Amino acid sequence: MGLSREEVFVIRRIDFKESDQIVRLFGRKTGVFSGIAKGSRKLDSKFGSTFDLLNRAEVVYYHGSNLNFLSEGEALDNWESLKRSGDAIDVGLRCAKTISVLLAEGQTAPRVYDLFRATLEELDAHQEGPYLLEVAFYLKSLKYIGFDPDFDGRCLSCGAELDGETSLKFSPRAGGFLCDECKRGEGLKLSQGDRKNLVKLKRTPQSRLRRLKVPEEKLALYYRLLNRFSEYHLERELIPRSLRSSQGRGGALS
Amino acid sequence: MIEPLERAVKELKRLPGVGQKSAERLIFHLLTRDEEEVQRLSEAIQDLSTRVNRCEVCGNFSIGEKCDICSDHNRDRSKICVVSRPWDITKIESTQKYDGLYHVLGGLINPIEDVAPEDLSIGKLINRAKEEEVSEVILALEPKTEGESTSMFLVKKLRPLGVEISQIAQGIPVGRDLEFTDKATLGKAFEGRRGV
Ligand SMILES: [Zn+2]
Ligand SMILES: [Zn+2]
Repeated sequence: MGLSREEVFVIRRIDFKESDQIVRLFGRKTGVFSGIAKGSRKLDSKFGSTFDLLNRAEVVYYHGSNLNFLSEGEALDNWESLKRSGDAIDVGLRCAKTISVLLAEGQTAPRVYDLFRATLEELDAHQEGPYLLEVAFYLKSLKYIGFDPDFDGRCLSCGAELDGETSLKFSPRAGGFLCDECKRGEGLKLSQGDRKNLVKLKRTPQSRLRRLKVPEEKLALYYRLLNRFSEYHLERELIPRSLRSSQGRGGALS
Repeated sequence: MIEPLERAVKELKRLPGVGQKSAERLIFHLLTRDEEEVQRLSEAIQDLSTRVNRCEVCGNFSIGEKCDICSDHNRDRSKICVVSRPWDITKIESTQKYDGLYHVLGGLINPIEDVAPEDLSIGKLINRAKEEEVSEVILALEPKTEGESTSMFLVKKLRPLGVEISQIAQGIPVGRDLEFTDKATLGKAFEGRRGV
């Protein structure tokens, strides 16, 4: 019986049978995998609150015939401050959902793992304005799995410099900007300022994002852009339409 | 397996926690019982779909349009206790520490499971809380991430209405379901509820 030990994030949990849970975990080594935590809903369970959503935990598990069985679990981070802010929880859960959407079971993505950790650490440290972190999370995780929209100041098709243009067109199909000549059909209208914002959002580490000043309505625009891009290239949206209301909290992504 | 057996197994397997083996065991057990007993079980199950409704006021299970609690005039109508699922009511009632009314949300806000506020019975709760006789809303949602997030959302919506809002939490370990909390702990959590 091979035991594995791993540091993971809890990204989904489903009640199972009387008192068990099936938890979806995101491990730095293994990527996304699921396991059953027997008796974990009971009051006196040895797992305690290890499998509360978003927790970073160390788990020990073994592989059954078609399921992993969790035998030990201990929370390393339970983000107490983050969990006192509804907006921060929303952003954390939406990022967790995105991990499930973007990664297949067993697909390893240590850079996405580190990004998720940095995002939760920031949300835990400062609860205001979490949407900057959210949009940057989407931008960077797309990049880390190999779908990297291009925000260079050139036309992706003919290479023409776009520096002189005040208004740019982002083509979700091309995954970048096109000049007036090359542009066919619809594109999203952006300004040079938007282009620079997107470059900065992608390059700036999560821990330093707070210095950037990006208005919420701009973040909503970038969010739409990434969703269109993701729909085209991954054939799925980052976040389902029904959840974009940002829980009615007056957030940016409505 | 002959057709009626296969069909029964297939239907039982749809139930949570019932796999092929336990479905077969239940079926073989039923086949050894007398006809009358099996008939009674079948009628009881039938009644679930034909006789059990959801209370039009609070969302609790009921036989008529209103549940027993909503129709009981001895209950304190100034208090509404908010729970995520109807069976949490049974659990709270068993503590005998609460004599007010209830409101069932039907779940918790959770982007991971695609549950948005508009999927829950929140508008109805707001309308009830606006009624003059209501002075306190008690949030009894699970102290786990989704429960906390839903509670905070409700506080934001309820605050402007001027009702007192309190939350049970103390004593219930984080990450647990009310279902698995023992009576004594849950009772204490009710008595020690704090304003939010
Ligand atoms: Zn061009
Ligand atoms: Zn009722």
